Amino acid sequence: MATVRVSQIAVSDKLCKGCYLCIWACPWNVLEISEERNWRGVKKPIATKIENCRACRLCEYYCPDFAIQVIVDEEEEKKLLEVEERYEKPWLRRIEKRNEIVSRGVWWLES
Amino acid sequence: MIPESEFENVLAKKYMRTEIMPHAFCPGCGLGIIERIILMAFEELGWDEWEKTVFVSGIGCSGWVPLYFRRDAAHTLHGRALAFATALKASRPELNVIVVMGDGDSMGIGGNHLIHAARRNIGITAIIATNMLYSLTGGQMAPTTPEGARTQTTPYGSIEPNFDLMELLKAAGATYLARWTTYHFMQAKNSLKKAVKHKGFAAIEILFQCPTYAGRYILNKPDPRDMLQWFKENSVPLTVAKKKDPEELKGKILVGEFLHRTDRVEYTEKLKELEKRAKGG
Repeated sequence: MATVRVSQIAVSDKLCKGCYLCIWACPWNVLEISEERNWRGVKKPIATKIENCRACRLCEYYCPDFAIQVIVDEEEEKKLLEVEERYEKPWLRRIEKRNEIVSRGVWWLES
Repeated sequence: MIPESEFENVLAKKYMRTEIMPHAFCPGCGLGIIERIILMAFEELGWDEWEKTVFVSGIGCSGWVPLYFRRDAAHTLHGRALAFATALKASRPELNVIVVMGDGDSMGIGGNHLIHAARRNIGITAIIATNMLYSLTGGQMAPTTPEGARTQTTPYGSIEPNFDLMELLKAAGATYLARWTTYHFMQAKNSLKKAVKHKGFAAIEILFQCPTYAGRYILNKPDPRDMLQWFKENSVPLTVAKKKDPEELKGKILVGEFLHRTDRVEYTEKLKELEKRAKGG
């Protein structure tokens, strides 16, 4: 399951030259070569399995032409932050407290 | 949803002249990844560092790299980029001078300037983009072409051994040296960040894929994806290479941070001292 929902993987019509380094770089096989050519005569990569995308942005980093951008849904990200605030933060605080007590030593044996 | 005809990358929008893009490089050329490495390093260093940066470039495919940035850049004579940069740094020591050169530009035609800039230890950051031949003019042999490689001017295989830039500059007296490939873009970015902050001559060699000439002639891999895969399989980090025999490492690319010295004084600081002494202060 993906941790962050990606709304769109935008590939520029103007900039993409069709070297397919993004397809080579993607570990989750999100992108595929499209069958139609665009107005520049390039078969652009399209995101066929966008639900697999983890937003690791390797396709962005390996693109030499600055043509690709992973766009993460802002509302989705806000929701995830809320969940973290409500459920994960108290749990983390409890772990921190326990670690603090353990690091202080076993108090009932020392006294 | 953003319409794909109007879309621009976030990093490109902030730092690059998007009105003259797409750039002139071949499809799959690694120079675009080197541009991204530079921009990612400055994204982390901050806008203030970007404001006082000047780019200098020579001739060749790599000479086009800084021309797409929204920053002052000088496109100098073939091989003379470091000579220009030395004068620039001596007159304005507060600037970050970044020189982007190719392998033929820096080692073939401008070899003298390279070793003397390293000897003086002047605070320039040199990014040397290596693709193992002269690619702008049609794939002639360069000083970095591996022995036995077939190119346009060596149809029966090259008989000359190639340069090891790291050893050359270590002997000449450079103080920060690193070598990465475009496959290791994250490590290259971290090295570049260190090199910009470093006081003294810093050189980073980045091997990049040239599918049109190096791919077709030298490696027999005309696809950029195969070339990046080759970089991945044939590069050995320095820490691993120390434990291996020298015979095992034949034909491999050693990558890593080769040198980080802080014991040598920077050239422009010496120049300031000299100025004080000459004025009788």
